Amino acid sequence: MYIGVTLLVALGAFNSGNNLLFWTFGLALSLVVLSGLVSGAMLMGLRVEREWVSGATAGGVMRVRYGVRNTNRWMPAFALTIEETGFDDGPAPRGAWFARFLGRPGAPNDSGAVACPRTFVSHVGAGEVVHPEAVSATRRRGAVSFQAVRVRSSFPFGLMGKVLVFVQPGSAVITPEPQGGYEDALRQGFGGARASTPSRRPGRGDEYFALREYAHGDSPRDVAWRASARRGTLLVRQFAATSPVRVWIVLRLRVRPGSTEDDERAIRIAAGLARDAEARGMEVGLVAPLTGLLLHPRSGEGHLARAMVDLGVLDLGADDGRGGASAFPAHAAGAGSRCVVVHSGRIEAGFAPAGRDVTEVGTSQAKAAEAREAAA
Amino acid sequence: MNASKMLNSGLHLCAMLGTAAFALADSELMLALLAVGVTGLSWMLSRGARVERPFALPRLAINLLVLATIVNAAMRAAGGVAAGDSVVSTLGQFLVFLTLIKLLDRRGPRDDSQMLTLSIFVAIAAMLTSAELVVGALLVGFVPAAVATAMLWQIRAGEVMVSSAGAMLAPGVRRPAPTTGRRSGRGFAGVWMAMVVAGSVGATAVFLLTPRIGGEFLGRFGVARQAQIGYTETVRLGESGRLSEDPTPVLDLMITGSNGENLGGPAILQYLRGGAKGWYNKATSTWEDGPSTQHLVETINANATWIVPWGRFAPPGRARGDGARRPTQRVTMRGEASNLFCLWKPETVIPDQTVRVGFYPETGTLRREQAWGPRFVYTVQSVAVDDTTPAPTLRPGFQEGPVRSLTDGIVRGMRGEPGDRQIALAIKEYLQSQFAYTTEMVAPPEGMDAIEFFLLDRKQGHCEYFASAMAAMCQSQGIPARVVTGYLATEFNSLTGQYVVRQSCAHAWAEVFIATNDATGSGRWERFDPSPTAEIERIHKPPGGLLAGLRGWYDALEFTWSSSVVGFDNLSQVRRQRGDRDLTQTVYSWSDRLAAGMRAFGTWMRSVRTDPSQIPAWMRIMPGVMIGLLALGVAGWRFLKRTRLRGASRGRDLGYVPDRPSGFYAKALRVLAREGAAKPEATPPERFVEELRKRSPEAAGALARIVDLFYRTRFGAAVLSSAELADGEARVRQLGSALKRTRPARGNRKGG
Repeated sequence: MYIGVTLLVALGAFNSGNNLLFWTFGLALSLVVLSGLVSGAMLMGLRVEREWVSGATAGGVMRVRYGVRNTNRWMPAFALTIEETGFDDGPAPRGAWFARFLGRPGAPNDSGAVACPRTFVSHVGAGEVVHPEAVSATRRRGAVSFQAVRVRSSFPFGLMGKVLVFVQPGSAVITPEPQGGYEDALRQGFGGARASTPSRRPGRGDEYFALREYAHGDSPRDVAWRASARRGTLLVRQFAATSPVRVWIVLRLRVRPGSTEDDERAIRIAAGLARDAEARGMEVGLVAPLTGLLLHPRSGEGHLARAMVDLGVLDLGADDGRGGASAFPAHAAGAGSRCVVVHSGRIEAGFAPAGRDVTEVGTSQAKAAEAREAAA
Repeated sequence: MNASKMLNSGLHLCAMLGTAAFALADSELMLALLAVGVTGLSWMLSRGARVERPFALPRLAINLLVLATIVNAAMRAAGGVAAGDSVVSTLGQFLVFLTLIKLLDRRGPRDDSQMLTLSIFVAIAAMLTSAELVVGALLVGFVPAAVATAMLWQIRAGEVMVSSAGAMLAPGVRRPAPTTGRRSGRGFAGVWMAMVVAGSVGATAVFLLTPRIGGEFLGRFGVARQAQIGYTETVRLGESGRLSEDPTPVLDLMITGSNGENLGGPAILQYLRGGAKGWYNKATSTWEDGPSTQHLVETINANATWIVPWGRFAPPGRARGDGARRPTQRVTMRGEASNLFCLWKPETVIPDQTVRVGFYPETGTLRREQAWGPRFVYTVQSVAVDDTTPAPTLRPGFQEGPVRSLTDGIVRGMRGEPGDRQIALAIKEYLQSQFAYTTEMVAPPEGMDAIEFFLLDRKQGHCEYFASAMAAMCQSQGIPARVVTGYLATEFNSLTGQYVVRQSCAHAWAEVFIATNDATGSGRWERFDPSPTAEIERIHKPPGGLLAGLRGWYDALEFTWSSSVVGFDNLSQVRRQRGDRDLTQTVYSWSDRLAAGMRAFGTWMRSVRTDPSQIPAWMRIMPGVMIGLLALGVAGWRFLKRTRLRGASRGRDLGYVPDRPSGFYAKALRVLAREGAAKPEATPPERFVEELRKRSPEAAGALARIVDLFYRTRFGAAVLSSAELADGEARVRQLGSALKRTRPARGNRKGG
């Protein structure tokens, strides 16, 4: 439009000899040139770095912080759009419009897990550093790979846009959104609130175990003064070690046409179970037959984070399609551990071994329950 | 720096300056007041509004206003054709109203950009409408404001982009704030000033260097309206109304003597002749050229001295008035007029651009025969006293009748045998003493001549009545006389050394032929101004006091604007300065040729418009030939493309290397999706082939072949031959048709 109006002004000027139009025509041309020069000069001195990417859960947000440094001596930078390349809703690759024109759109980047991180910097003074932050909505779990940071600006007039790309590979994982409401499955057979029971060996639990003679290094707080007075020797109290409940979460995925929604729901339920179990002090193990996911039972926040990441990157496409024929994993069948089987779809009888301390959850039932709740 | 607030103010400033400039250019004072009022109101309302929810009228109100504007523009356009309104004026007013409406309908950056664009369009419309100083001053203010607003918009649009992205986040999530560094306002101001200065320098460079090679080849497109000349060459009496007192300057006049001394001064009146008419048509109460009036049309080249060929029309042996004073007058026309004005009978003319001039030897006047551009400057040397003029033919008309009777009475009252000059003086004194001056014009009764009505009945009128009455009374006594129209230059500007002549300075007086040589009958035309002197001085007296001083400065500025900016012509300047042939001269000689060619084209276009039969036969069939060639080219291209594809399908190797070997695989996936058998992402292709086999073995077979080719190209680094590629395409078609045959019934599709 700008070019069209400029040409029209030029036509009017030459046709009529109207000097105001000649000046306007000159101004229009000058602004085009200045727009290209200024936007280029602004970007020439910019250095952009992706500094930090927050952890993210599906359905939440992911924050990406950048460091933007303007190394120009005099020239401030204005109106900078900073965005990541390689995202579906991000900047189109070079020549994409022509491919669309020919009816041959290229293969989309598989980064639909999160909206393209994009932020805007109004101004960076000469020699100044600013730290903008992009906040993107996460759509689904999965791995996010970052390729490059793109800075573009069409300041001052939007006539000539310039782009600068900083290649900076990186990755992040969007973990599944834990789905709660399955605490009962964890409590079944465990006797309720307390997950730990005293064991028959000394440790750092709360329950009394025995008395023994004082040894160098024992805490004075553990000295049993009354008993020591009776015996005439210094005795200290020993406590029984706790024995955390070990729970295996077995993901029974289908991985077949039409099962994606159920599979994802199962993963969310598994994430919720892992979170709840960790909150109860249980040791959580995670296994999904034939997907390569195997995480031995441990407790602690670090372990939970690892479980979430493993669930986040669980690739349904990695299954060879024989999920339906998978067997109950031997890891979860060991003695001394409980097991919660999360079925994608209906609970399939015969999958879990009979007679064991196993609780089974099916996404079909969960879906029906949710529908009932919604209707109510 | 608060970009939102600054953008809001910038947009309002642009809208106000643009609309006010157009309104002033179009002489629409009410529109200017409306524009200033609406922009001020909108600014006050919008500056108090929250950023995320800007002030805007309801949609319904906006739509109604736009509808009313469109209706108004349509009515104005329809009525304007008859009234002679220009298209630019109608369109400009439409844009002004749209701009004002848009001010009340700003909901986001898109509206802001439209607002700015509208303001720029309005400013361009103002340029097209008028080139006056006030308009120029407003536009000079508009440019920096528009530059700043455009820059602010870039920032604001980005900020809104971030906040709108944040709006899509879940509630409770901390929104990202636009990041800005320290002292952003100072940095912005620096860049803005640099932009304005650099842009102005660039614009001025283009302005100075671009050759003016136009010639209105597209008609009046782009031509700004000039100051209208209040003067009319035709003297038409008997119309009611009131004389214009418009103070718009129409020309500037500098008078110098033979030594270059300025002959003008604050107390010196100058009668600037335009046209002269000596033939009175009683039927129309109009002074006209006589039926035998002859004239000569000459083309005067730019900066060439043209000697007015009086000798061709004067009797042989009569020299021009040697020894007479020949003041040089440099006239800068600010507007368009039908005459070339000068003090007396012109002898030499030097225009600053090539013009065609009609030369009227009988009246000693020059008329333009061709429109000129926004400004026209010429230097003329005229003879103050010329005794060699042959006696003109006496006009009939007033030898009998009440005018004759009245004049006879005056002459009878004179002592002795009065000469022509005495009679003329007596008539002048009679008119000045017995008649009153008024700018109020009253039409005479039906059937009564306007001059007789003035002389015998009303006894008051304006200068044209006085001049007409004097000419008529002289003619009734057998003395040749005529009515002259022009300007009375009274306002001398000491700053520029020039007279500023305004529309209200238009004046009429009489010229009476006084014989000086009884033997040959030759003599000279003498000026007699019969209008009451006191009234004329009162009317044309230049204003005094402080305001007059300011006005003098303004006039000087306006003259500079008019002569240096509006009337700048680099070709003329180079022509004036160039001596030896050099590169510049060569360049400009080519530009001259180009300009001449374009002018000729414009002339031809105008003539063709009136007479289409002038279009040559070959040119008439040219569009058809072009369309035919284009169609032939398209058909040939398509034919070649088809042949190439056929060759491929036959398996001939045409050297075709596919850029996307898996294209047929993508097609196959689309076909599967279309036929309700989309391959899930997680399912390997070969496994999907087995699933598809349950539905259609034929389709599965086709897909198996496609998958095989796909695997070979994608993972086997194979380059398919043309035959294999064609096979892949054929399999896609086979897949589609096979799936169509096994398409489930509509009712079962969902369940299946």
